[in-house]
Amino acid sequence: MPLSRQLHAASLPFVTRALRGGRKLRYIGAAVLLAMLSVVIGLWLALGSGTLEHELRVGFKLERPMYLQAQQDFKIFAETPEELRSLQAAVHKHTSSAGLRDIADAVVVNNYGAEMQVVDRVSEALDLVTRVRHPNVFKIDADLRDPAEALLARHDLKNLGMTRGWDRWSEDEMNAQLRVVLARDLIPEVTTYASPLTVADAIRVTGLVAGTFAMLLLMLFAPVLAGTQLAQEVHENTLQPLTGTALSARQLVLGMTLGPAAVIALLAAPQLLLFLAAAASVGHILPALGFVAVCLASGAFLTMFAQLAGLALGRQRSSGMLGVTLLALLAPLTMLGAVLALELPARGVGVLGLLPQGAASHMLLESFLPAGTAMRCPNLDATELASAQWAVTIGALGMLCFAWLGLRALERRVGELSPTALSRGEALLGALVSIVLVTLANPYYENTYSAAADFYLLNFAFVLVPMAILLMMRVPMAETPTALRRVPVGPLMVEFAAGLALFFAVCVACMGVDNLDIMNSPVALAYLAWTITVAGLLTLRVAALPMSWLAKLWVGVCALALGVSFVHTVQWTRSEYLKPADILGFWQVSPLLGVLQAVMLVLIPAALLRALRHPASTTPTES
Amino acid sequence: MRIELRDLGKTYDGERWAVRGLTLTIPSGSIVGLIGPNGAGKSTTLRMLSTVLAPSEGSITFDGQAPGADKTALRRQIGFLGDGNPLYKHMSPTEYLRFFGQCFQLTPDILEPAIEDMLTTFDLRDKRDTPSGALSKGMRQRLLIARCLLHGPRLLILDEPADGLDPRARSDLRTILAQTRARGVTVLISSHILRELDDLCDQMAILQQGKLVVAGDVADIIERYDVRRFVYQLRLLGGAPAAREVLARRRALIEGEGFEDGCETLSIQVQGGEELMADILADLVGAGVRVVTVSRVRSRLEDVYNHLSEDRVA
Repeated sequence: MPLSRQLHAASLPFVTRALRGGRKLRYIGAAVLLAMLSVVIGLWLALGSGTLEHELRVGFKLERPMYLQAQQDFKIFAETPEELRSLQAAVHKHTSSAGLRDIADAVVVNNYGAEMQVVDRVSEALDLVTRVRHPNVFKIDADLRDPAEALLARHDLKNLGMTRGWDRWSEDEMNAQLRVVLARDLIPEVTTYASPLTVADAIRVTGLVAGTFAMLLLMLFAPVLAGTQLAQEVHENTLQPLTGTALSARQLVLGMTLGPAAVIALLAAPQLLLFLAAAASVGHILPALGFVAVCLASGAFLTMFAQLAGLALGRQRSSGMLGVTLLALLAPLTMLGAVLALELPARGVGVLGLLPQGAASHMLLESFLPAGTAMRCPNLDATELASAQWAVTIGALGMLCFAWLGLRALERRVGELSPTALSRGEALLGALVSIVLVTLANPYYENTYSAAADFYLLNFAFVLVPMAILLMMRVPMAETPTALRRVPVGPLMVEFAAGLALFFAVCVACMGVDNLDIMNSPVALAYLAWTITVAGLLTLRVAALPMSWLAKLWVGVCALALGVSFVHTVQWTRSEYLKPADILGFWQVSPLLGVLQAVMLVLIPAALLRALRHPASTTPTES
Repeated sequence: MRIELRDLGKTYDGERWAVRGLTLTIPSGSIVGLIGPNGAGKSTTLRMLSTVLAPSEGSITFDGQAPGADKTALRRQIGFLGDGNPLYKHMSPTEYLRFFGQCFQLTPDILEPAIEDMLTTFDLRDKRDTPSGALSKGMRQRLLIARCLLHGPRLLILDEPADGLDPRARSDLRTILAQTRARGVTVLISSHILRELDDLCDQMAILQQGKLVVAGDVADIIERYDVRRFVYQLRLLGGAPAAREVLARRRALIEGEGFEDGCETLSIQVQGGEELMADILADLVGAGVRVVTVSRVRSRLEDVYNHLSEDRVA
């Protein structure tokens, strides 16, 4: 059957179900409302003249703070029409020659309200103009000298030589402000506050808002919706009849993905249209298309991940609880990605490849606020910007690869096609992609303090997480009583170790074997081996055997011990001054704790291995 | 559809076998009852037959052909109702049938008339737009069976379909199965309620601990195990002594006596068919016995099952 017909057969029942009855119209209505909301928010944010909108624009660096605008643009802002009139009257009074002389001689007293604002502003401007007489303090632009002197002469202030106030700005800023003061002839502009953004800026902001909504829909709500729906099918045992229909396992998985995706697509389509229209008119269309591609690729990966979680946990947990858990996991990552894209440190551009939310946020901002400009991340040079683009591209390809692996795992689990969710080759591919993305996120920088350890040890900690997940996918699952389960511990541990060996091989390729300083410390090597062994055994234990509350507590203890072991690995790698007595780090705190640590070093791997070899010992006793 | 099982077996861990060495032939257009205690391997067998579970050993052929790697074509000919399949509470019968019809890739011109046919056949027209969660248990079960027949399968597999149904609903189920057989569909049904299978099944197979104990034509098995007995309960308003005389004359064994709701009750065992019971009833009435009700207490299948499994409960 052609692929298009397969997809149609897979999607039709689930999309029809998702949009049945009045739901389709309701979703369309919600989509239109959401689009209108985007426009309203965008226009309000860009053009609103209230305090909140101003603060938000300042926060997003779309505008200078009001006090800075007042100073730099030689303005006074009135809040009400009455205040406007008072200010205008005060300006008229204090900017006459007599008024200026009074200000210069500091004889203006008992002023308040509008009077005080005008006197302060004019006094600052006067102070700036008189600095022309002090070239050793303030290097004035050549073309401003004569107009400044002429202004002082016009108001009979030519004998004024004292400077007031203090240097607050750079010389460039002072010259810019002086230019404005001279252009206004020492008369400040009195006006009510209005947004300095233009209609084009308003379209940009609307595009950003629409893009943000689209990103949230595709990368946050789509995975949560798909994951909870699959969890509900498992929880209520409605999945089993579906496996007996004329849909293959792959079609079933695709259908269960496309059903919720249809709902999200209805809601996200107007947002994407708004976003692309804004980018095409006042932004940059190529990054905008890149944003859509990243959202789709990352959304596919996150959706598969959420569905795997739903399939694994649906029996024990309700779909609502799973949904909350997914939200609690994905929402902070989304915020982290947004912050990363806004700040984008030079040495952190590679993280965009590892954090899909960061990549999507970066491309969203690139569509309207390109990095490397005054608007955003001005410190980044062309090389770093290019690295960021490469990281986003490689990251998106990596997400597509992970999405495909997720699809393979899901169809095997749903269709019970194989005891393991991933084949050995697929797990290897996943390991390779993980290693590439982690290395991209934290590349090797030569000539930095402890460069090597910062590179490969930190990356080891990061790469352990996806490796553990891939190991879980390799554990054979079957509907067998716990006591009768057989876990091939040996072969799986060999695969796990091989994946990590591949990681270290890549590290050596990046930095050279001479920089692999862990090889100089047998203690560090021993701790590393212990960490890898326990990480693997712990992963198998969690994946293959039931978890009573006591088992969960024990797993927590093992995870803590892993952390301690990793810290010891780092210490013994980086320090040349540790003594044999420091092998057990807790010995320095208390000999008793040191003994306990030694016992745990032996007990933990032994207990985990025993549990895996004798699964019956882990079965909770029935009361 | 004719199904043949040859040395069929399933193990989940390589050591304990849920089913082993199962050899059975299910004739086309018949109703076959699969009987056994909990853990006998009934559900596993039915799931293997429906192709949702792969056997560990042995073979299954459908009309002489083994299922290929792509089972989707075969599944279009099978309707499977597993044990404990719930409905989607928020979907109406129409939406539910449409959903599954699309899962079986029925085109709209076939699907919509099939939905109407099923709603009519299973008396769900009045509830076609009611959310399934608001339907009675009997209606839900009818809807589940309708879902299994929607795509016109040639083999219907039902795992404990009468579980939890009231007597009226069970009676409706029997009618539906009879109608299904009349359409030429092969039916394979497992049930603990042997009374429901009695007089319905053409063939039966008894499983114990994953192994086939006996299989074949119901009448042959009853003949083989000499369980040609009928047990009835009589409720009498009066004339009990005369009833005992008639029964003794007719060689009906009185298994038990009692008193219930103001009536005297007699449990009797009759060696013969329903014609003999009809004659006995006529004699009782003729002797002046005031018979209120006559009801059959145990089915013949239940007798066979009890006889075969009396020392072999799993």
